[in-house]
Amino acid sequence: MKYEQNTIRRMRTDDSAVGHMGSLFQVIGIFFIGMMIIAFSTDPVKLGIDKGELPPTIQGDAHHYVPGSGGGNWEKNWNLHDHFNMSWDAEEADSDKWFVIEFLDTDCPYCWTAGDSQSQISEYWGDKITQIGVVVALNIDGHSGSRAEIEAFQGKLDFEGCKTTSNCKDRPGEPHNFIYIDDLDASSMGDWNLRGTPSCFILQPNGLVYFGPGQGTCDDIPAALNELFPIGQGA
Amino acid sequence: MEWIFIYSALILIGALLATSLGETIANALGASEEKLSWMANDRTRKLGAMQLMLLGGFIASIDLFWIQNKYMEYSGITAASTAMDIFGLNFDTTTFVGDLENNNFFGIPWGFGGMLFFVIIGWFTLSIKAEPTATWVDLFLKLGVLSTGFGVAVSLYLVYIQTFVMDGVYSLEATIIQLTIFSLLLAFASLQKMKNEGTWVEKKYDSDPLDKKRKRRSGGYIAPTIDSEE
Repeated sequence: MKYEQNTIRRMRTDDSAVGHMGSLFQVIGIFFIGMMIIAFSTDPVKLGIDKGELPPTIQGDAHHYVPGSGGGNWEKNWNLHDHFNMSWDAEEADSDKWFVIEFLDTDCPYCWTAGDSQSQISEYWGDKITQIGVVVALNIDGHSGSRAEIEAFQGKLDFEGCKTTSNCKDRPGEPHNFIYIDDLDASSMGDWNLRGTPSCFILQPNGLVYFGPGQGTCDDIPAALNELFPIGQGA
Repeated sequence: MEWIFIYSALILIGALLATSLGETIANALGASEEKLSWMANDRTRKLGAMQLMLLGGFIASIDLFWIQNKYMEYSGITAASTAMDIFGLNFDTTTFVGDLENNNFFGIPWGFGGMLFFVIIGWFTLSIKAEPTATWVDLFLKLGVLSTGFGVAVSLYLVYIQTFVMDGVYSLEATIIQLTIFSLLLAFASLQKMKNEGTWVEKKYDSDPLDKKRKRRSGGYIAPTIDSEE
């Protein structure tokens, strides 16, 4: 009697594993076919900061310097990706504005010096590009940041503390008329996987990286821009 | 755009068959043990209907993922997506997939997430359909209800994103997927109710595959699986 009960129980369950394992193989097969269709018929851009890749966004409050006012105003939750023109036509390179992005630290001596070349970039290519300064506070002794220091560095205002011990009004170059993003917590810089400042990028109007650390340093940005938009030809 | 009609039809037919209207349709078609046997009892009809919905939802997810990938080629090809006003709502998949912040769920593109979801739910459904009397069916039914419940929660989150973060930009493909997930939740709940009420296996026209195997086996020799059975 017990033998019969055991046999019946086994008959009721013997095929169980076969049933759901067989189904598992079926759905995996269907999923694989779906992925093959996607893989063979599309070729999306890769996310990253190398040339031709789509970088992560930069998000934070943006400071707009107002010339002559001794200050400016803050815009809440500025987002880089919102400004991309994803239907931009590469055949018409200057049909929309490109992006020049500099990650900087107001206490970094190289960023202090680069203030002058950033001013020159604005002067020569300001009508072709959207220039963006992303201000971080590197985790280094003596480096600290604040909204007041960002405003002072940007507008060359009277403020002690830029380049650690200098007055911001002595920064090389002119006041920067382009936006500065508050990334003092380095969250966007972390997303971009950058190690130091200054780090500079040129992005196409559709957001893809045209020039990054793999192509050169911040010092090479003017030359790269000159290739795109030669000075004297409308710039 | 043509694909949307195909998977919408699959989902709609599946959703209809899963309701009480499905029985009327089955009767009208003359479903019996010989003809359209899968429609002849509640359990197999609902599981079959769920398969149709799952297939439709899976193709819809592929379509959404394809549109997003095509858009991310930066080739300017966006014609495959749908843009229209329905009941005053702005359905524009191109804008939806072009929002790089919101076209994904914790980094997973919505379409790809849909594919994964329907594969998992498909596994539960196919397994239950293959062996409705197996010991693990209760577990799979519970997992089905929980998974589709989670899917509905994520769908509501996407509706929130589309309404308040994207300022009323909806995707027709995503909405079809969301409705499919909701229909699947109802279907799973209905199946679990049947199981709890003891109407899971009917004698009349019940095409339980394991039952058929048992009948076949009872008519012939069954090989012993352990020595003591000899």
